[in-house]
Amino acid sequence: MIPLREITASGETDALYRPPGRDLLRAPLIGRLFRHRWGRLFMQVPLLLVALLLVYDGFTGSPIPPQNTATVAVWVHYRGFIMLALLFFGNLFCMACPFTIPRTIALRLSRRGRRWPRALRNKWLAVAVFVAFLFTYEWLDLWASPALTAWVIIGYFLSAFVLEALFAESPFCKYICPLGTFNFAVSTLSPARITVRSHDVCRDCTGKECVNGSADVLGCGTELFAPVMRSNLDCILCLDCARACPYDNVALMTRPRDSELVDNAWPRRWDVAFLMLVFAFAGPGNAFGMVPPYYDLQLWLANTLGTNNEFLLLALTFGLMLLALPAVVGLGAAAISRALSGREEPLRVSFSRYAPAFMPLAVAVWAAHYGFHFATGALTIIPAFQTFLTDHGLNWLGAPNWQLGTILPGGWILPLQTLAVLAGFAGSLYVGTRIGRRDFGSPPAAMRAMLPWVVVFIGLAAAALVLFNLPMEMRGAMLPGG
Amino acid sequence: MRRRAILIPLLCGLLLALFMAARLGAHGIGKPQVVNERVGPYLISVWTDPDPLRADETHVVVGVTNPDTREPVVGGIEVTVALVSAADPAVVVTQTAGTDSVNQLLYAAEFNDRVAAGRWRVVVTVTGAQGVVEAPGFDVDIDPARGFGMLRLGLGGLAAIVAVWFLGSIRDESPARARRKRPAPKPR
Repeated sequence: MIPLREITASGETDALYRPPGRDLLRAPLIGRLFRHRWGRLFMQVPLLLVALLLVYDGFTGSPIPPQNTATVAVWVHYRGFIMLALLFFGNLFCMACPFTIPRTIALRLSRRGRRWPRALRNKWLAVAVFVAFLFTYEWLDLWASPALTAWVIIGYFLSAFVLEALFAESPFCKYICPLGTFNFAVSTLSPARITVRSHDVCRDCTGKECVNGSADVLGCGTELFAPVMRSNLDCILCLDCARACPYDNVALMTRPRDSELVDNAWPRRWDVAFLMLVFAFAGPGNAFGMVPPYYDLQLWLANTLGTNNEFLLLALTFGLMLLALPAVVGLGAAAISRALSGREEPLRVSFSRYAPAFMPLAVAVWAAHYGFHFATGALTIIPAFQTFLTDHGLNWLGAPNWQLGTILPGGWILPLQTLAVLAGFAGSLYVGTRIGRRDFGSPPAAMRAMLPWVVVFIGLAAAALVLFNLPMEMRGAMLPGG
Repeated sequence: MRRRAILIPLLCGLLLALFMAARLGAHGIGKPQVVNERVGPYLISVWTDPDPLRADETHVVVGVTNPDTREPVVGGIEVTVALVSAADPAVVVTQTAGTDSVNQLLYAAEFNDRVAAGRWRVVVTVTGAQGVVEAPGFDVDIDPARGFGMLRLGLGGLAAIVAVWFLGSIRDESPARARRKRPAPKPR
């Protein structure tokens, strides 16, 4: 590897170049870990062991969900930690994802398979799988079944392995994985992203190892080219680009959180914009499945349609809430926005313009929801793990204390959720305003174009506030308070 | 700078209001009233939520544990919660505590809008194959229903943010501001 300083020392432009932000790959200790050839594996192996433990306990442990590490760790802790990691650092889970260990083996075995079909090289499939995952979670009560949770983990390993063995471009991560889709969406607000230290170095680079790979190191699995990256979308933060670059020129740079949302960094595509709207509507939609009015709605639907088929009723509810509603509302808002702005442009452009503005509110609602479950059930993992140990004759951690559960006083949770939703709503207005002024110039035109989207933001935020004020199933809580 | 000077106190005020409201907030886990009391073949714990209880927000959560294994009893029992008015013991509001459809370890009963403000005695009864047992009762004071909840505070916050956004947009295009933005003429 040729050190960057030798390259820059010879180039006048590079000698003057000061990359914005702070390069986390140059941070003490953590930077060395990230750049180390086995750095990713070092993070993946512990999670792989955890995944294997969860599969084992899921099949052999207690069938009661809050007593089993599989259900508690997957549906309470993973979701809580993932929000913290994404909001305060970046896509750490995809970086340490254990499912991609066999994927990497498959990739090496296949030495790059055939191309993923062109018709599927978009986010439509990701939208479908994301909604299907949320639907399956409710339909099969995945939280309530340690065994099914274990099957979900196995399904992830198998899907990643098979697809990676058959196709290039990491289609599982990029086009299918619902966890990855969630992480990509939230990581658009993360405070760091991949970029390069010097564009001159990339201009003169002939091998483009960051994306093509080298004899020793794989290039970017999702085929992103570091010098032109402006967004965290599709970046699994594997850092293969940084390891592959012979000039040590790839950086993981800190940035303002709103930078990619207001900088026109996303492609103006139907699929990308629709994915973000679905992500935003799925926040309240997912929470809705855990409050009493949801059961009233199911009962009303069952009586109206004359059927008790849960699959059908749930599919109808989720199809309407997570697909039809964002489509109709989004298209309606886009059409009105275009008419109010008086600009002749394709509806696709109007539809996708304000999609980034949904992210602050959407992420806030997801964080408030997952934060609730995490805050009410975080310590449950201790007695659940004690149960696992005692089931196997290991009593050195003592008897399970089932009174462990919460990490925050109960009275704090709803105010924190409210604060999160209000902050997300304010963030969406801020991002939307900047987008409008970027595209329309004059503040009056920008405000007119944004008005229908503001109505949508208000609807989503109000729905979230109402939902959080209803009693929600405490998935993961044991015997709290004492 | 001036905008920031307004915004920071505004946010601090909102934060303070939210945390003051937290003292009134419902939807939490609860205040322990009975903790692992040995009652017949069970260890019983009872929580009330929120703190203080209000006529429109009164929840009682019951945990039943096997004293030998220390594991929650998740089936084969029925948990009943009764609220007896201290002012008139003839007034009794009874509710069978249902198990959560997913989390089967807790028994919860809601008395929202079914009780009046005042002092009430909470009596929890567990009925199972090993008979009927009654947990130690305890008194709670229920405050009047409040006309001011977190939902109203949240919706009010939304309205305030929209108003600030709207006024900010209007302000940005005011003639005086536009004049200020105009570049000064070059000195001759």
